[in-house]
Amino acid sequence: MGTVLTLSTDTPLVAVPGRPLQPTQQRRKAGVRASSVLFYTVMTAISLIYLIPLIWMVLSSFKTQNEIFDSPWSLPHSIDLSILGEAWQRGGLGTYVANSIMVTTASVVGILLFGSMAAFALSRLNFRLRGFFLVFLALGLLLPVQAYFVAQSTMLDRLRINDTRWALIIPYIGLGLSLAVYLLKAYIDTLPRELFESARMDGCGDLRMYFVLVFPLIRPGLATVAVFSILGAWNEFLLATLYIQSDEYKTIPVGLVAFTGKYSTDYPLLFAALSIITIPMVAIYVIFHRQVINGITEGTLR
Amino acid sequence: MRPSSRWTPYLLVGPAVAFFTFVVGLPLIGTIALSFTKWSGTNRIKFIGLDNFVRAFHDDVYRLTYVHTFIYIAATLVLEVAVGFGLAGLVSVQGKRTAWYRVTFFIPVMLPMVVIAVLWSFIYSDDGGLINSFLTAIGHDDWRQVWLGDPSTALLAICVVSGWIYAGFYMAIFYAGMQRVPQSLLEAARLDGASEADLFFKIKVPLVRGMTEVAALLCITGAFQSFDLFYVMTKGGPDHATEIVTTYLVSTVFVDHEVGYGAALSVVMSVVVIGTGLLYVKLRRGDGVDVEY
Amino acid sequence: MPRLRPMTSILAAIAAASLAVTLAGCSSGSSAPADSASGSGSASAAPITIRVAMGSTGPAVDGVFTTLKAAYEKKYPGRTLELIVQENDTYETIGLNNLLTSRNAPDVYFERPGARLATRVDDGYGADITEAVNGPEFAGRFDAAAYSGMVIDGKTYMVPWSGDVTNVFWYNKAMFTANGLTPPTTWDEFLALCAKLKAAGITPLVDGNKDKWTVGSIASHLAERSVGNDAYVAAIKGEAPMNSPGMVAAFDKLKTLADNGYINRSVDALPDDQATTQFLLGKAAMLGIGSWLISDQTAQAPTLQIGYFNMPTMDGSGDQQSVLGVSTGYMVNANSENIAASIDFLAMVSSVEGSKLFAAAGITPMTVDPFVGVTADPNTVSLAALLSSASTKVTPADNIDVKRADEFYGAAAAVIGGLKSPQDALDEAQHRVEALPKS
Repeated sequence: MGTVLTLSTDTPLVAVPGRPLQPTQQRRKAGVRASSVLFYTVMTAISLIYLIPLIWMVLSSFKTQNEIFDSPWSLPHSIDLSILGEAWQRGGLGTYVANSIMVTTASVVGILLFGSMAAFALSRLNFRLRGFFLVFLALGLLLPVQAYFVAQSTMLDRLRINDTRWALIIPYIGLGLSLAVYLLKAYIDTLPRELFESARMDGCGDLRMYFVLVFPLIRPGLATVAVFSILGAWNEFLLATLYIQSDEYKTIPVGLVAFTGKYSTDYPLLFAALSIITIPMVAIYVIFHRQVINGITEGTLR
Repeated sequence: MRPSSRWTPYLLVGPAVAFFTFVVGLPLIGTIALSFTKWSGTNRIKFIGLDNFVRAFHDDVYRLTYVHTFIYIAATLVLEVAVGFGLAGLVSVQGKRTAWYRVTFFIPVMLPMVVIAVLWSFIYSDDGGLINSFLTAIGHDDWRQVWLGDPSTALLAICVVSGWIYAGFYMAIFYAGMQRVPQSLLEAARLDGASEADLFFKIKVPLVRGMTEVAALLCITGAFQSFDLFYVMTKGGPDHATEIVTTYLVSTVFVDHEVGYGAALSVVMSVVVIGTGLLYVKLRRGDGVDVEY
Repeated sequence: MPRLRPMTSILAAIAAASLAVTLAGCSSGSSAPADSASGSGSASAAPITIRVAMGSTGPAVDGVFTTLKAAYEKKYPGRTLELIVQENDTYETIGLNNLLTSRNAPDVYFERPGARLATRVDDGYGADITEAVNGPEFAGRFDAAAYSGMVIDGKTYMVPWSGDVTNVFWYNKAMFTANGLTPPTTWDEFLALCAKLKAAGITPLVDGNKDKWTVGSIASHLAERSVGNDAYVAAIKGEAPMNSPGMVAAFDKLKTLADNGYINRSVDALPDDQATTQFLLGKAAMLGIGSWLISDQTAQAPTLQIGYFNMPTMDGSGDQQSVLGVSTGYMVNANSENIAASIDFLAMVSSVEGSKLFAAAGITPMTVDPFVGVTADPNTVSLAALLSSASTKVTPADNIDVKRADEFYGAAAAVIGGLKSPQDALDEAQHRVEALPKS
């Protein structure tokens, strides 16, 4: 066969130069083009289902109250960006964002540190209660948060840490640990045994081994756990709405619900607030989409 | 490997176990203990034995929450898992540039569910909502609905939003699986004249079958934990038509201040969730198919 | 930071901690020895902080509290007043309960008289302030009637704050004029008026019943009009069936509104404040909601001309001139270390100046002279008169019994949403109420 031609839609058609394409091949090419057009049309149509709500949200923030009601599909008459600033100011969104950043950072650091420490010990060290701890931590993967939040809220109440950032950070760390330990343990399990044994031969103790050997080696695993934990803490709503009442400690999801309660009569402002929160997240996501999607699929499938 | 000293394993595991004990272990025991009491959260705790459980079994609304959860599971298995599977098939068609679509379909997974819930409440709204005004625009005024206010549509309307969010998530998972199908296999099949549809149904689908089971399990256990969409969009209404276990739990404990009863409801729920999970695992084992990952 | 927990002690720790939680539940508020910095203003006393908790009733009212805080701190040097203002819905559900058991428990908190006040007192959060309210600071500020629902066994637990009419029908004056309509006095006139508006292509009545208390309030009022106040209260308290013929007759009125399309069909999906917005934007001719609409109107549509009429009269054994209303007030936490200083603040809230500030902000203070020398909205003044001169003051169901009211309101929502017949809805509510444990 002289012509290298992929019959499917796999790679662009490549014909060996100097020889004209056979008629059947030409027809195929046209067919492929037509199916390409169809394919991209369908895909774009599906994309619109995802994009229209988001675009509508952003555009609505530039409309007037009456326009939002009377002509939802119309475009705004003018784009006045000051509405975004107004929503930020009046809604006190800065506080919510700052809280979300603080709570998420603290939780993720805690999850990564404590999770990797435990994962190392459970993966590589023999000790009496290893099996028990593994089962105990697995409870977190099995039980829904609803199974225990009733008493959890009571405990936080009695210990007087409800309505503080700790009331979120501590539960988020505890809830994130199960998955982290299991993912990281699976990761450490795959590292070659000899690595640890030769380090031990050189007189390396457990703690040093963790910091010098394990921690750097499991970075990709940590990245996966980080993606999961960041999204989890950033978007968590149930506990945040139950444990936080003061405006000054609210995270973004609870803050937004409070905002919709306070300004639900001012639609443009409401859409502006939603847009302010959404646009940067989408932007960050688009930049890091590879890491995010990989992290999530890895974490889910392991 | 032997630890370098007796205490280092405990030092390493300690923080994780301590946090976990505090956040999950103790509250779990506490919830079970509270389930035998009558308590408002501010008054004196009273031990009432199994009364809460008896009451739970006679609670019409509580029973309804399970019906709704199972409807939700059935709907989301289609709208999330099956649709996600289809999307994965589309974005893994050879030779097409699909990166941009994959990124787009995944956007909702990233966003706070609360934002999505607020946004979709407006989309469904009868006054200036996107859907109803679209129906009017295409001349079907009679198709307009108060999507979230009508018990016959409210639950389904929420399922659709759930699908809008998570179809992209399952797409990403299946896509990752389909990418692991060896290229050589696909090439060979193609040389034998297999069409793209053949490749999808005869090669990719069987190979990611194990993954569909993981996905279904995720979807089922996840359904029991739903809260955000329901709470923000309908608060369980209208007429309890979208009441699920979690919304009912929250209103029992934090609105009606029946902490003991709420604890009993959550104990029952945990048993159901764990039971469902175990049942699923058992059924799958009986199938004799191993999950690949 | 977490301490290392060796395994041997974990089980012991679990047992100890769950015990501690249980014990703490029984003995809240014994945390610190009272340093008894007495409240009566000696400037040399150790600095104290008074925490005042409330749900927000809008920026104007929040502003008045900020003003009073400054005045209080100026008048009593060494005292700091901290305002804990939460979103109203949060405050009334999760918020106040959590606050009372938290490390920063409020000294003074907003509450409702009646059932809710009694619960607080039972749970040990209500300070007996009888002596103070009979003292000079409050002399002549309230009529005895204002304390209704705030006294248990001769002891007073609350300082009255505001009186709200919970439901009237507000109407857009321009729309009424354009259609040649005047406020109805009987239910039949009301229906005829709705029919006219509907024929003119206008949504007659809008309401947002997502949280169920808006139409629930209307249902409460209709029930009283139909069966009389005593029978209505008995039904809500579980002492009489909810599905009696009289109650069903009351719910038939809701059904009429639903069946004829006199109310927005999105009623059960719409949050109440969005219904308010629609009314203020002129998307409907009438809105069924309470006196607090005035402050929303001032903020959103100050030029819109609106009026109101009370629930029209109808056939029934209730008082056809009754008014649906609630009063509110502030309680002092029995666990507060600064009860006297807390009362000083409430005296300021109830003072002539204080109540004038609130009146101007659209609240109806329960003091004897709220509107003297104040330029309050005429609707505010006339609603206050309507409430204070009412021959029967009807209490909305959720102020009588929260859990049973929930079922009652649920039935009302099902009927106004066109989902169930009045009989079925009330039968079902009654069935659920019977399943509740006896309190």
